[in-house]
Amino acid sequence: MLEPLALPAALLPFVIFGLRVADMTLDTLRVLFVLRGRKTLAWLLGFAQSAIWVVAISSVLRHVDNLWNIVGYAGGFATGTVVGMLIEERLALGHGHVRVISPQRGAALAAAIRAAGYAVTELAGRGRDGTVAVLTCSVRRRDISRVTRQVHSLDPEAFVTVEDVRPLHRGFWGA
Amino acid sequence: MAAVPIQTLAVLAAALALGRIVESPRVPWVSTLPAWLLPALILLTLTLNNAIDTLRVLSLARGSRLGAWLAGFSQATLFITAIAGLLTNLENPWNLAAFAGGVAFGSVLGIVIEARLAPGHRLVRIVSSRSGAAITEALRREGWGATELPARGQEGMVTLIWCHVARRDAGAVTERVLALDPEAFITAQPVRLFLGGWRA
Repeated sequence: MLEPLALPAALLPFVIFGLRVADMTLDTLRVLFVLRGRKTLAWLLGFAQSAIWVVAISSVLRHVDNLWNIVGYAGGFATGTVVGMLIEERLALGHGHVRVISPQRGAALAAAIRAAGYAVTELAGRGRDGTVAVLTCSVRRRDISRVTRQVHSLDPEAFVTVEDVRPLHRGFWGA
Repeated sequence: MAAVPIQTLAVLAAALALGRIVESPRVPWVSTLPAWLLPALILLTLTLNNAIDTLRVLSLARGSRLGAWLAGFSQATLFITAIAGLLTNLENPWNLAAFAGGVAFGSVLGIVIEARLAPGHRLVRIVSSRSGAAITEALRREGWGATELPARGQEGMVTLIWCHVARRDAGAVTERVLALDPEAFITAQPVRLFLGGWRA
């Protein structure tokens, strides 16, 4: 496929690397979207990814005697995966669920999170050393770090975990 | 978490060594092999290849960038040096069967390896109608943090217990709980980020 372009051999490893980064970025986004149930996006990405892959693989297989082509292929594959993960984190589609367990400052934390415009549900729990406040807070994924940073600055002792949640309906998702 | 890159490095070294031995994967080399050996080689290398690829997908789902990079690099190196050369004669039904079998076996093997390494954390949720306090005591004595929440089920008050543990401990937590209350309702789910808390 790349033959008509008559690329100089020295350039081929870079072209292969670039193609592989592009197709693995799309593939990684596709896998992550599949895990979150985004069907249309997954379809589009799968289509584009395999189209690029065919070009990349055929140009490597025809010139597999050059070690640098192989390095470009494998390096592009690995780097594309990481680039895809970074892009997905930046896009941060979907929602996350933040759980905070705070032995001391539960009420203050809940007030601060609410003041920042997010919804919090408070529960009373019992930990090793007595009563603790349990806060659960569902927010958009791109807001997660803002919430956890605020919690950490008010109560460095708080125990915080985050998990993915599937899109829900109704409720209050932040101002 | 640290276990994955180390294992992957070992696999990477193996893949590079294999690529070295194979050197030129083009048809002349493959055609010197006895015909019966080719399907076996395809099955073996593709199983390894897809096991690594499954590890890559599972690390990216977990958000481990280093693990995903290393697994991706070793998998692609293995594929392009060794396997692509072996796949020159897919008209032979045995080669084709070995290809498909390798992909299938490899995926399962990858899942098994990942479950054995068990990176990451789990939130174990326990609902117990009778022995809530005893369960939390026991969990804390084992060194796991547990938080109790009073809750109401169909038949009155129950205890809801959240226990955040390393994923490889989730099985032990379940056993411990079931020993104390065989009727406890237990679920486990992956959790991402970990700040604070205590561990004995």
